[in-house]
This record gives sequence, C-alpha cells and structure tokens, in this order.
Amino acid sequence: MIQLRALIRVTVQEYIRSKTMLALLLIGCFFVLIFSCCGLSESMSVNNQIVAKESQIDLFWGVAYWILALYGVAGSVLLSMNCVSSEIRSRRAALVWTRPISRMTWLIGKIIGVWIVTAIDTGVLFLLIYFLIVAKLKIVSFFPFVGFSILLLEILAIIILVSTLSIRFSDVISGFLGSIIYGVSLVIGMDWVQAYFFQIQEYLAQTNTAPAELLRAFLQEPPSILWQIFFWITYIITPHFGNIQGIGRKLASHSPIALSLDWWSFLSVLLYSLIFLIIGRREIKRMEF
Amino acid sequence: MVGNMDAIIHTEQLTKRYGATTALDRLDLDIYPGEIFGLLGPNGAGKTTAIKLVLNLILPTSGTVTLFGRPPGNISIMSRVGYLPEVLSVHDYLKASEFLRFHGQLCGIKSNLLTPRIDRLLDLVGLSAHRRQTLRSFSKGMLQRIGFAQALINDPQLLILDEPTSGLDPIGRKEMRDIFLNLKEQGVAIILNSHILSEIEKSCDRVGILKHGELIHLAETAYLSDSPDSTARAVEIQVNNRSDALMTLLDHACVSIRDNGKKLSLTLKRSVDISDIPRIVETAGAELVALIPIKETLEDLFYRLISSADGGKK
Ligand SMILES: Nc1ncnc2c1ncn2[C@@H]1O[C@H](COP(=O)(O)OP(=O)(O)O)[C@@H](O)[C@H]1O
Ligand SMILES: [Mg+2]
Repeated sequence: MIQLRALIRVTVQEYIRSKTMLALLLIGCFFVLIFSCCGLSESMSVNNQIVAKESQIDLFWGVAYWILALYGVAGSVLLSMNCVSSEIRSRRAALVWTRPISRMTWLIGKIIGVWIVTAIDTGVLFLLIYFLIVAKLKIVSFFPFVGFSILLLEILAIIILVSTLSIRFSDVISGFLGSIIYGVSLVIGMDWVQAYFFQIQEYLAQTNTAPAELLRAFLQEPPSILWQIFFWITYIITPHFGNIQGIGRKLASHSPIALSLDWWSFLSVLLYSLIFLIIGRREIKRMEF
Repeated sequence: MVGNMDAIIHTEQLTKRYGATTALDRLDLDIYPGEIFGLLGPNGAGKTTAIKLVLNLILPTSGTVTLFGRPPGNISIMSRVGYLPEVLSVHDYLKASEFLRFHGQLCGIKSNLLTPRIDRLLDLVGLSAHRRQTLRSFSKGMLQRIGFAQALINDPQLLILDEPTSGLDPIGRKEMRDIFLNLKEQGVAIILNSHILSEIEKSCDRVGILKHGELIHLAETAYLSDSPDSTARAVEIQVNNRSDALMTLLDHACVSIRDNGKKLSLTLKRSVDISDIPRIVETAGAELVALIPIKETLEDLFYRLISSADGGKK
C-alpha cells in the first residue's frame, strides 16, 4: 500500500510540477466561461412562454454534462496516452521495476495518478458549474454529484483503455484509438439507438427525440431482422462509455428513480476496463529493457 | 534447489540472444555474501546484459538464474537488492530527498525509518546541501551519487552497480570505493560492472572477464594485486647455456614464452609455481642467472586475455 501510494503521488506530482494540471484547468475555466454566457437565468422564456423549472434544469445540466464529459474525456485521453509509455520509453520504469513491486502495481499506480489529476481538474470545473447553476436557478440538488461520480468512472475507464493501448502503440495512435472507441460507443449508446431498440418508450415520448424519428423512418418499421441483429450485436460487444455519460446527465437532472438505469452500460465499461487491464498486464510482463 | 545455497546469485548456462547476437553466452557464476565481484569487459561484452538478467529486466533465452535461491522478479527478494543502472533515468522533477523517499517507499519502508536514512545517505554521497534541489538541475556526477544513494535506500544485501564510477571525479571514485569496502564489511555482496580496470583492481575480491558474451576468465584479484600473498604468474629469467631441452621443459610449464634475446619472459601455467623454475632450469642443465617475478596487473591480464581470445574467435 505504501508502494502504490508512492507511485500515485509521484505521478500526480509530475503533472502538478510540469504545470500540465494547471494548463488543463485554465482551459476548463474557459469552457465554464462560455457556459456562463448562455441563457442561464432564473426565469427563462421561449416565445413569451415561461420555461418550466424542470425543463430548465434538464437543459442546463444537459449542456453542463456535455461540456464536462467532453473536457474530462479529452483531458484523460491527452494525459493517459503518454503517461505509461513515456515512463517506459525514458526507462524510468526500469529502475522502479527492480523494486519490490509488481509491474501491475506500477501500472495501476500510473493509472490512478492520471485519474486523480483529471478528476481534480474536472471536479473544479464541475463545482464551478454547479454553483453557477444553483446561483441562477436557486435550486439546490445533490443529484448532479451522483452524475459527476458516474462521469469519473467513465474517465477512469478511458484512462485504463488509452494507457494500456499506449504500451503497445505509439502515443498518438493510442489516443486516436481510444477516442475512436469512445466515439463509437457514444453513437451506440446514444439515446436514439437505445430508444428505438430497447423500449425506453416513455423517455422517447417525453423528449420526442427527433433523431429517433429519423432513424425510424430510415430503417422502416418494423426494422428488418438484419438491422435488429446488427444493433443487438453492436450493443452487446461495444463498451457503453457514451451511455454512461448519458446516465450521469439524466441523473443530474432527474431523480434516479425516473431513470431506467442501464446496467449493461456499467457492466460493459467495467468488462472493457478489466480486459484492457489484463492485456496491459501481459504486455508489461513481457516487456524487456 | 540446485546449486550452492549460500550463493546470493547463482546462474547456470545463462544465455541471452538478440537475433544473431549472443549478448551473453552460457554464463555459470555464483556470487557470495560479503564479496565484491567485478565484471569486466570491453564495450558490448555482455556485462549489462548479465545484470539485467539477474534483475528480471530482460528474460533469458536459455539457462537459469536465481537470486537468494528464488527466480528473479520475485517481489519479496527485490527488497534485498539495490541497483544502479548504467544510464540513470530519473523522475527529474523530484527533489533529491523526494527521490530517495519515493524509492524508500517503493521498498515498503515506513516514513519514520525513512527520514533518518535519507539524511544519512545524502550525507554519505555528499549531497546534503542539495537535498532540496530538483534532479533536473543535477550534474552527471551528482546524478550518479544520488543514484548510488537510491541503490542503498533499502539497506540491500546485494548491490548491483552498472558502471558506478562513470561521471565521477577521482575524489568521488575514492569515496565510492571506501563506501564499497565499508558495505562489504557489513556482509553486503556487490557486483560491479566496469571497463575501468584500476577501479576493479582496487575494490574487487574477484573478477570475471567477459568477452563477446563469454566468461573467459574468473579469478581472485588478490592473486593479481600487490598484497603479500599474491603469486606472480609472470617471470623474467636470464639463463646461460640455453638449450632446446630447456625450451621444451619451459614450454610445458608456461602459457606463453617471449624471447627478448637476453631474457625470457614467461607466463606460468596455473599448476606451476614460481619456485619450480630453478629446478626446471637445473634439470635442463642450464644455469639460472636471474629470476625476476613480474606482477601482472589486471590490466596486463585483461589485455592478454582480450587479445588472445580475439585470436581464438576470429
Ligand atoms: N536490446 C538489445 N537489442 C539488441 N542487441 C542488444 C540489446 N541489448 C544489448 N544488445 C547487444 O548485446 C551485446 C552486449 O551488450 P551489453 O550487455 O550492453 O554490453 P556491455 O558489456 O557494454 O554492458 C552488445 O553486442 C549489444 O549490441
Ligand atoms: Mg554496459
């Protein structure tokens, strides 16, 4: 435990001392600034009609989570695509690996270190946005925090994904691959696929999502069996990073009971993280200096 | 368990190949507690390869190595090992004391034990004044010193140093040598890689000479050094009445004979003692005029072996 703590601390220190953490934070603050310039106010009206509080919360947190997820994911990809590989390439890892720790402990230490850095940066952003929304809407709710912790899980999974990829691939390639996997999962997990095939009908009716209607028209009703099979398979084999974020967002704006929590999304992301950790472990076990 | 249980390191036919290059060729070696072992050889001889195999930083192509009777890479035994790599690559944003603390913690040492130890080690390597300086600002020699301190942070029973004195000034070398001898007295085994012959000669008990990955010589340095019990392996003799019979007899007793006209320079076989020479000369009916033992330095030995092995190889 002392060992793991030391590894984590040294990793975090690296980002603090190289000012990477600060630079990321400043970029984040810029995002918040943009956010604060949108129509955040206690009473909002569209076409002379006052928008209901619930819709406002939904709208604001929708945008907020979009920003937070974008920022958190981009930041974690950027940091994790070279945190492990640079340590190996510079041979700093060699000396550490002769210490009484397993290489896996080292890998986990690096991953948690990057996670903490990203989490702190994203956390500061989240708090800024939270207080901004609370100040404007004058409604205090703790649901956004639940959503935020889910976002942190998502970020951890991305870091595991990208940093283990970076053991095998170059930094840029692993960042790119990580982003693609995330992007694909975002599409797969998006509401409209879910809404169409997985019977979240109330949600569909409630939001009357336009893309779902388009998709329905595109695929024809009922969709051919081939399309159904294709979607089922992709739904099962892809990690649902994007969907996890969606859950976070919904949790922030609604009560958790109102949501159909998609357990497969959690499970798939968990499974993917685990698989990638196992692959990473194999890779570094075989590694020679 | 194979091999000698007392040996800290035990290798059997340890081999590492990189494609067509054999970096280390069937190494059989035992290292014992409290000895300073010097691994000597020209660049590319396989010294670093041998060390990395012991530390599990690379995997052998064939053969085995055990550390404290266990396979290398076993986590529990690594807490007894200190290592200074040939090229020290460090987390250079850390301060000197933080770097030592990091490595101490990696060894599982608790904070209250670690603090006095860090102070002691910084003092030992002469970096107390620089403890708050980041490693980025360190000179090569200072890095070598902090690297050495890092290797000692866990009070190792086995210290593995790859070219430890490179980048050090003469005073630094002397200081480091004194530290080696001090550690040896505490029963620490030290493996020392070097291509600086005088270094090895001054501090090592035993030396192994590697060439093209092969261990071509293994000897105690006492045998070479100026210590009173050393036996010279090289002599110069001057004889009257030189005969073919004498040359035949000497041929049997020597590894090599060089005729300088007046004098003969001999390098004796292991089985032959210098005191046997007068008898041999007498047997051949010659008269021994002078017998001058020549101390063969490690340098002489090294060049002799390296050049002769070269002849054998090519
Ligand atoms: N990673 C590697 N890939 C290919 N060849 C290597 C590698 N590491 C070492 N070698 C080769 O192995 C031989 C021994 O190298 P090394 O053990 O570093 O020598 P030295 O005695 O100078 O420390 C050299 O010929 C070197 O070129
Ligand atoms: Mg070397």
